[in-house]
Amino acid sequence: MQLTEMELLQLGEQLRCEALAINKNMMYAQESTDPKLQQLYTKIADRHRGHYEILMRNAQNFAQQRQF
Amino acid sequence: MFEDKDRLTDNLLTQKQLAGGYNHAALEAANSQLLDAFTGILRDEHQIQHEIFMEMNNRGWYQPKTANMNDLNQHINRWHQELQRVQNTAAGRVTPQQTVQGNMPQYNFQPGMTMPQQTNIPPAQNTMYRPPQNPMA
Repeated sequence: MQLTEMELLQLGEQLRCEALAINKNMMYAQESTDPKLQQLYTKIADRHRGHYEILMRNAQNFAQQRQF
Repeated sequence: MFEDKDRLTDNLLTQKQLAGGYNHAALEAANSQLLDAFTGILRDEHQIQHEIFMEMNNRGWYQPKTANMNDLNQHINRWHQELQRVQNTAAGRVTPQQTVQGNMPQYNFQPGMTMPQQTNIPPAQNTMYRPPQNPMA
């Protein structure tokens, strides 16, 4: 089944949000002086990076299906 | 000055937006593979949200007010009465023939339902809350 327009729109929207969340948490990890929270911000950034990769993988799967 | 309380609050709001987005995306997904990806990530966003909330809660930065137990009991009574009313209305619509055909909803307890029908409870206890119980046990 091919990607729908709505799905493409949603993928783009979520990718933008995840990218912002990664960026913000990396910045927060640097700014914070609390070691426990620095660790938490870093962990959250990593989890959002994981989400970003899942979304990208799904988008790439659809792109490859289209080629063959 | 931007402090850790602000950073965590911002993170909570970000999580709400992300989770809302994934919920919407999942509802719009036509491909089952994409639906699974969205709901899987949605679950993880909820977990992140909970971790942030617990961190704030432990530090006394976000402590939601607890509900009044009398209010809760009053609400449970009202919800129970509402369920009875809905069931009675539905039961009034069932004709004998339809019941035999079995294509009308049966309002008996099924595994997985949270509110079993409690028709065998005496009227005096009818408004008391009982947690869901498995009649098969």
